[in-house]
Amino acid sequence: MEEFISVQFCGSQRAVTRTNNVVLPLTGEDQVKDILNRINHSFPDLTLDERDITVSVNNEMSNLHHTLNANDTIAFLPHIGGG
Amino acid sequence: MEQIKSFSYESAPIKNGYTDQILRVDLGSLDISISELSPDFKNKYVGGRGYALKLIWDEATGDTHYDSPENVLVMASGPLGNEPRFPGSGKFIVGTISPLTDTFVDSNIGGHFAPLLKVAGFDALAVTGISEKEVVLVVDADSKKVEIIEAPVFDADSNEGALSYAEALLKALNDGELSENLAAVSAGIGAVNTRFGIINSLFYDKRRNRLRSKQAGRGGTGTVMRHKGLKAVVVLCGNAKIGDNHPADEEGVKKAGADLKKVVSQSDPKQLRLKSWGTPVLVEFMDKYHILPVNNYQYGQHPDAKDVFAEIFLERYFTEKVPDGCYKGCNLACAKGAERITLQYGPRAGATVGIDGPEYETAGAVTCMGIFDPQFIMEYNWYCDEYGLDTISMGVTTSFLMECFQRGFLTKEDVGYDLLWGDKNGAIKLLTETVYATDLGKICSQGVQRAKQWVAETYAARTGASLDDGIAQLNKFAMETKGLEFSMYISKESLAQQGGYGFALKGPQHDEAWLIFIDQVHKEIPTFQMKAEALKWFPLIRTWFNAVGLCKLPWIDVRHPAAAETENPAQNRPTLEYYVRYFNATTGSNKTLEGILEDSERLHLLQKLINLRHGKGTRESDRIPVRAMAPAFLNEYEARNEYYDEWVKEHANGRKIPEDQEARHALLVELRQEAYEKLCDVVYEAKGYTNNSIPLFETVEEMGLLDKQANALLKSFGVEKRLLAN
Repeated sequence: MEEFISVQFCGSQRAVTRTNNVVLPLTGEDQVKDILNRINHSFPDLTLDERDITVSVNNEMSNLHHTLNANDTIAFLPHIGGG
Repeated sequence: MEQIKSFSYESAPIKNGYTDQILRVDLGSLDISISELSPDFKNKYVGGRGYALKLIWDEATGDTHYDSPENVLVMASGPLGNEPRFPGSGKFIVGTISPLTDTFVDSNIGGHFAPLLKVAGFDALAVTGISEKEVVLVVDADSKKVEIIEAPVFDADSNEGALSYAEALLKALNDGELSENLAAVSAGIGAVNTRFGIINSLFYDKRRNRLRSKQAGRGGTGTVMRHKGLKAVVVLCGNAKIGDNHPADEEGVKKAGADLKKVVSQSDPKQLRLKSWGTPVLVEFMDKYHILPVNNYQYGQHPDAKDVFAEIFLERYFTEKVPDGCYKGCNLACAKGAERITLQYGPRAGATVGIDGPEYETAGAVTCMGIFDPQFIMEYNWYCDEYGLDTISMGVTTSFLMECFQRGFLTKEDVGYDLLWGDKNGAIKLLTETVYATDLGKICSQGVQRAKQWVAETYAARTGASLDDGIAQLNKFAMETKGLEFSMYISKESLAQQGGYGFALKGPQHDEAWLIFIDQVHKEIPTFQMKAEALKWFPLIRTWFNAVGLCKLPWIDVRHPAAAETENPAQNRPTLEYYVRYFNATTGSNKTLEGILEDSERLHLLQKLINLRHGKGTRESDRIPVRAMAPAFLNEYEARNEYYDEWVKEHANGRKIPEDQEARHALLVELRQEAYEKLCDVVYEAKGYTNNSIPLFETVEEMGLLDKQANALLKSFGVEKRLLAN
């Protein structure tokens, strides 16, 4: 049975992608980095650079080398330092 | 316009970012003079907050209150202000003894005022005394005159408003024209009637063809200004050139500014997008991580929060798509504005106005009242600016009174109407009453700390409960420390941010330390020691920004790509290198980042001494309400019971976990309070303080602050020079 993960878009990402989230099939041992590449390919205007983002998986901080499981929810968040 | 006093002066040229002059005005004696500053003064106190601290340390005493004639109202930029080649250089500091905290407070503010004041020949303006009449101070750089004039009277709305009064005034002083070469600060009628009055900084924006405004919001600086009888200050610089800071090394400034602008222009569009979205973009992220204040900080998330996400403001209000920086040359330009908004609520309903804002904090102040209406946020923003109220203190005090009403501490008879979460009409009614200090507004105008006392007395009189019991109950959710209302972040789940709020010398404002994300979300500082290091380092670097006349957002909210490879990415040191280069190129110094932090430590310590002198410096003053560290009531626990149950299980440390949820809640509160006390111990030690938060003799001596007053003060707290053991 095919398995999926979803990627949430927050803030200005949503304005670029015009959607709250996308659902992507999980292909074997996908890491977060693989998903980032697929997102950048699908939405080139997003220009997500790994140095500019932090990774959240299921609302917990994670990293680009985290191996994903079915039904995980990923978000690529900007750095926030506070005003 | 009736002139009361006129003073001619010789203009001092700007050299290496400084004029080395402070304009002194005593509104009691009507004396106007100039203080010349020695090199030692600027080397030691830098500028901005440093100058304000030193003047208040020397000229006020522990008996000085906000309304004392000797209280000094200081407006000061710093050596790095007034330089369009570097982003964010229009900032200045307003510092004084606060009506809310009864100790030193400062608030930073953008605009053209301080750069023009520097061009006119002054690094700072310091006002003392109390005028018998309402007056306006005019600094005219062209005629080299400083004048005190009787405050002109315009139409009724303008006389009460800060924005409209300043516009009428500037036009009256400049042949009916607005221009980029004049600027004003003003405070509205609400600043007269409350303890949390703000100062507006107004400047002409030719793109929008109107005056725009920024605010020194925290701590009641506008209240002090109006109490002194000062309705506005105007700087006119018709012939002078803004933005010429005469640095020691022109090329160095140019290069440092270009490097920072490059990072901002390349990275901001890939990160927060502050340039196009402004700070309201934070609403969504705060909501996502339970940090957005809802219903007086009970909850950090709400399903309706999406109605006030940044894109709503972008689509409906920020329609002009023009760069809205608060000073020339800033390519982050995060301030946002809206044109032709027709007010639907409050006393000016039907009027069409331009609105500057909202910032995230203002949106948070409104969600704190349980309101999720973008139009209401815009209008709340405008009313607070026009009438001169701090959006944060107003929102938090309203939220507190709403909760008092809904938990039965107040009745409809006490309030005069229902005060319920999400009630826009109730909220705007209370705002209007607060502006004029009538009905419940008379209580609200005093801020949370003083309102708490009145609520407890009212409750005790009605129910026969003891006053102490009432205060103890209210202390759980009265969101103030040292007398200042919390800014708009839920700190319950971040011990480091609890410290960031509790230890902040001015009271719980996040500009000393904003550690929520690196602590709660990124989990980068898990140990007490790491939290203590962050709670020492961040306040120092943030203090520096407030001393030199710069905005900190290009550093703190735009991460340099190279920061990822550094030991502590959150410190964003690659960007700080540009700031150090800029400082050295402007002032002709040769400082390192460590040297800059040492300067900041001196200022931070001086502020600590002032707090001690004013009874706000000990461990007791760093205590925070229960709700700042845990769910104050069971309903808050229940809203996230799975999360809290898990948290208790992880942190119980051998203690038996109760079956009963109420008991688990009590245990959670106990554990959080213990953790906060432990944090106090570790942080005080890291800062060189006793466990009662008193700086050690050696700490003060090392910073060159051990004058007669400091010596006596430390002695009064039992701190003396330790004799070295053999």
